[in-house]
Amino acid sequence: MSPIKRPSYLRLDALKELGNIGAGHAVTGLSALLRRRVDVNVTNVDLIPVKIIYNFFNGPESMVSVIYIEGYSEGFRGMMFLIFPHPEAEKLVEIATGEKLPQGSMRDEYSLSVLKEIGNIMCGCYLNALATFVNRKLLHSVPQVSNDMLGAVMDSVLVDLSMESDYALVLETAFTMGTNGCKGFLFFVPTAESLDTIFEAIGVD
Amino acid sequence: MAVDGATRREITVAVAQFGIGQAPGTMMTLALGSCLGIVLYDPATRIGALAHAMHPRRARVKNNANRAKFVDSVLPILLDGMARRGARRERVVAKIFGGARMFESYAGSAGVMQIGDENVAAAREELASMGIPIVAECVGGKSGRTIVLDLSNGFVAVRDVESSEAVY
Repeated sequence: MSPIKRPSYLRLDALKELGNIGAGHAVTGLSALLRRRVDVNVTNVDLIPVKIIYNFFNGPESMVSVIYIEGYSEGFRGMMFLIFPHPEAEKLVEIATGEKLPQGSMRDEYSLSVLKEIGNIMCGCYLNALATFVNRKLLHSVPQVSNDMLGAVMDSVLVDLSMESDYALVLETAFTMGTNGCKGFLFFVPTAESLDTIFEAIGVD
Repeated sequence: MAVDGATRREITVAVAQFGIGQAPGTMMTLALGSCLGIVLYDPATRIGALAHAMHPRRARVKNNANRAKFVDSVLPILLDGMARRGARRERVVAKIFGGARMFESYAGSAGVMQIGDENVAAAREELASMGIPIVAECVGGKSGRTIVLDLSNGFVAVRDVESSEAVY
């Protein structure tokens, strides 16, 4: 890995479009799973200081569910994480299972497994869309899930990245499920090499 | 970047930063995951230091300009800063917190997920070689922790999502 540089505006635009398509597929997958309407916002793409991620929502102590998956192929590696802030994440598990959850059961095996499956479907759809663009077979890791403080979870996810750079290129898409405004955030963080692979594949110089 | 405790009574230390302070007041760091919260304290002068380190060893990482990011390179900075304010090294005691494993396993780049354990091990090793005793610790496990050091008595309050607050 090498430190990441800010791509040109043209390239950022291309990434944004890629993110929109990936997120569109991911959200369609979620919508089919939940049998609910899911609204998706436009993807934001930017090179940001990694530490900004700790200050999302209400800061490092915000309770969140994070599902983490890594996509990889030859010349390609990207981290994907889905973040559902609490207490809405509980609603999401309830919608997915059609069951009312007992208080404080978000760290149960059952809830974790539901969240993993949601991660699997969404990230799988996102990466599949991406794979079509870069014309490669993309594999992804088994989903990892953690219900905890945002900062604590991000420590573990970002430790790898921070060995190379204090900045990361982040593709971020927000989406809203159903009518009760349950929010989720999808992040895709490609490595510098992956960006070269993507730009080469889609022919944006 | 260091936070100056002389003018503020409540010091919050962010990721890959450190702070040095003197009673009265508190020092805290939020949401330690695999990162390690290192508290050094001199009970006689009531001078304390707190670091939120991400990685165990500086030499192993390329992006290493910030010394506060590493367990082994932040410790001398904390001790120097405390000594400059009048703390005596032979009185300094240490407490360590964090180093959790937030995900059960990690299929991607295996090894990185052991980083919490490595942080704890590095702190034990470095502190032992400096002759600074670890008098309390709450490390490992699966939960994130927020810690608050009370500079007036050296006690550290720890809270995580699973249990209520405990004092070390």
